[in-house]
Amino acid sequence: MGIKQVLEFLKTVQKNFKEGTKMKKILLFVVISVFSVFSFASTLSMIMDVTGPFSRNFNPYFSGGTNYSARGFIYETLFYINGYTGEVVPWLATDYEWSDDYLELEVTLRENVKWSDGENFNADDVVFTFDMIKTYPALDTGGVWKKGLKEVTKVDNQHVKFVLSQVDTLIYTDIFSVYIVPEHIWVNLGDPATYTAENPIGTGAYLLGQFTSQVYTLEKNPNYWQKEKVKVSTIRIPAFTGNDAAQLALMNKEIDWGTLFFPNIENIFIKADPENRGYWLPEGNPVLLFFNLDDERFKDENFRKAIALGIDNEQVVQIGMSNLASISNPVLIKGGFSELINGNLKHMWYDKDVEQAKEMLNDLGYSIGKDGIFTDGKGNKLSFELIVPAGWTDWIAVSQVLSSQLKQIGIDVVVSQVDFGLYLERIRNKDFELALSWVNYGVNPYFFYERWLHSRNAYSGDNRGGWISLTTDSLLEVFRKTSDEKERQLAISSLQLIVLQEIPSIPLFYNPTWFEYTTYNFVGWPNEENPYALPTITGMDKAYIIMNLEPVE
Amino acid sequence: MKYLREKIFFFIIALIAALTINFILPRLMPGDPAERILLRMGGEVQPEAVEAMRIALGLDKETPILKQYFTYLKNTLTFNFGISYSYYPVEVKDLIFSSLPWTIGLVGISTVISFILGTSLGMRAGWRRNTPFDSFVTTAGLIIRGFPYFWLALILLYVFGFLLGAFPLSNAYSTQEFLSGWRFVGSVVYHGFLPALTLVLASLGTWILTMRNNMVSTLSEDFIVVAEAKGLKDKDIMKRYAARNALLPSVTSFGLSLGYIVGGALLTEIVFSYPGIGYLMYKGVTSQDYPLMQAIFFIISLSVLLANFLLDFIYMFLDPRTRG
Repeated sequence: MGIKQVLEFLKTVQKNFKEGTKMKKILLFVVISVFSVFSFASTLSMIMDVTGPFSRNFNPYFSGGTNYSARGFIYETLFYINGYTGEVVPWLATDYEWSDDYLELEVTLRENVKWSDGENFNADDVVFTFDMIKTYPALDTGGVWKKGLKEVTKVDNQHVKFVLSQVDTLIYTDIFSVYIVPEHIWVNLGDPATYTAENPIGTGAYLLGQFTSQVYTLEKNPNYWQKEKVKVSTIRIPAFTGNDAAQLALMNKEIDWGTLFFPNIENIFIKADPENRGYWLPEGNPVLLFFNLDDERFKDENFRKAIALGIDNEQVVQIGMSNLASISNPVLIKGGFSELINGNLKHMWYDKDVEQAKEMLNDLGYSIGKDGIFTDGKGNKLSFELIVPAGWTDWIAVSQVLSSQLKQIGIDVVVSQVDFGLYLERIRNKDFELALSWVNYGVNPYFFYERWLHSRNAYSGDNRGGWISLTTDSLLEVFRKTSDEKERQLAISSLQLIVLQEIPSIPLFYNPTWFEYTTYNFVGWPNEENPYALPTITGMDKAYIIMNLEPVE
Repeated sequence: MKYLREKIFFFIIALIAALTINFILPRLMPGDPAERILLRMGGEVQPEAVEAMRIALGLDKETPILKQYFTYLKNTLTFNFGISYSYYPVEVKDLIFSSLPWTIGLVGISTVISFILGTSLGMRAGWRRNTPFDSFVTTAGLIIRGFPYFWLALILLYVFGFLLGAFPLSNAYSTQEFLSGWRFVGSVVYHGFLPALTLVLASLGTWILTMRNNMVSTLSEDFIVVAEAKGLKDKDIMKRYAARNALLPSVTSFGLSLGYIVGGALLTEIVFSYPGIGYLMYKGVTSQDYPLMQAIFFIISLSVLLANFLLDFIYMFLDPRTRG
């Protein structure tokens, strides 16, 4: 709420006070209360984030609560890539086709789609959007132009051609995930990277309703191209500055859809009304124990294997994550993609084995000391610092569990909590020994393996331990060079062998994607029995989910 | 006038020092502001998006630190705070305008209430020294002052908000519906009650104890004995003789605390999800938002310095010795 609104509001107060008789005021009060009950009948309340008051910023290319509602609810992408199933769902586009040499991708756009101001959506908007994020790389949040997109051209009103400079058969996921904006509005903005889109015009299912810094609403777009699917007429999004306040609101039935970190959820939230409350914590980004592979001591794969054998993932999840995370398999392929798991290597999947770990350390020339800690030939103890971001309570608990488990195999691990900025800086500068960290999974395991193991991402990217191997790189490059699913599977099978044999880092578990819901007002939520989409709110998933919801009679 | 000149000189030096520290401190934090997005979003952000953010914030180009400093000085002194990093691309001034009124309203009103209430209680306690009233007020003051105020806030929220449901749990006005007119005012008061109560209680103890102790020492002065000997009414002695003199130190702290109001009340704002400047500052710091931090620190420094300056100025009239 800005100064202007406050002034305006004060004026109305003054006016009402002067003009209204007591009777009138009471009548007004009654009328307003009746209306407010009606207007909130089929309203869904959701928590977008808990980072405080809102500012009016609906630019879909930036991160933050209001920006997230712009993505998917207001602005849309060409296709929706379902992160749980990997399915590519037609959205603003209906079809796509590769040229024979895989250097051109032609996309067919949906007909009869209109912008919320009544203008027609067509190929010009798509071409404009891609040209704009090329001119302003600050908006290219998927990095499509850096990955080898060369040119985007209009074929006719319903067809757009994407031309690549080199074969990259996975780039379509990045191209399809760009939010398309209306040319007739964005063309006149000057620098779109400083545009806050206070009155956003999109193709999406919702329009911005009322806005204050404490709450705003999104109203159903009456001219939406698949309006028959939208049964939630209003979305109410209140602001919270902290998790505690948001949790209280959720328990008070003020919220239908939450995305809160909520330890002890069973006892506090569910128990009060198990019939109408639910949660689902699907596998999010994997969390791993990274070795600094630049450190001489970690260069031996048998040493890394010994450490891996000292870790009991089940205990890590049970104690460290209060049993609210899913254990990962040692090749980190999520449930939805299990056909990519190489079954022939399952005998190599490892489990905790203290005796074998100790034996391996003995074979490596380390000898156990009186205090139960191994020392090397020169008498140096096997003692390592494990860094973890300060304040990440669950991860800190995980680190402590790891430390006590590794003590059992004779390795001393000291946990240090480090300020987040310093934590990433130390990893980037190779100034660490062990680090508990994560890798961004992406829409399928191919992206994950690339981020985790490609030498291009060493230290500064998600390859935090610095795994640098030509064989790995060339196997990873197969993913983007071919469109043959068999070849990709072959490559990822070989990569699994490397992961199991050489242990670049130790997979522990998947961070939970926090998602809570109630069925007081709406049903049809995704959950373990019906996992049709990932319940994240940062992108298109939420638009897909909301079209699966039905109001309760 | 030498006194005044000195004070103005001091004001300028202090302001420049504060500005310089406000510039240096945030930059001593390790890390990269673009990467802090990862922290806020819990690692859900693609690495490519961080790269894009770095370009948006202009962090991909190196600017010499001295050049940054002088641009910063010029911009700050002309109240041009630039674009926030963490709410990119919203302007810092818009963020401040939307939260400062709430803070000034909440913290300002609570400070005034607390000062008036605490001082008058302290005055009466000091006057009726060693009576049950005095022991009650003094003990209560000591106990309240011992509470960590965020704890008080949590207890109030839990009991009155959650268990009894008598007050709302969060926000500055209703988020269930869009109100206007008197209903909006009512909603603001209703939502502000618990946070204000916390702030009043939290500082009440200090006001009570300061005033009571000053009263006690003033009461032992000779002029009080003279007043009593003259046979003046008790009420007159208490208010016009003792309290007037005892009030001076409390007024000084009150003046200073007015300067601190714009700093907000961080923990209260977090507990009650109140949209104030304290929370905005916290967010600026945790997300390494240089422009936002600098602007808020500047406003806080400026108001504390101004409050000090005005106090000095008022003293010049109150205390003839300073006029030189």
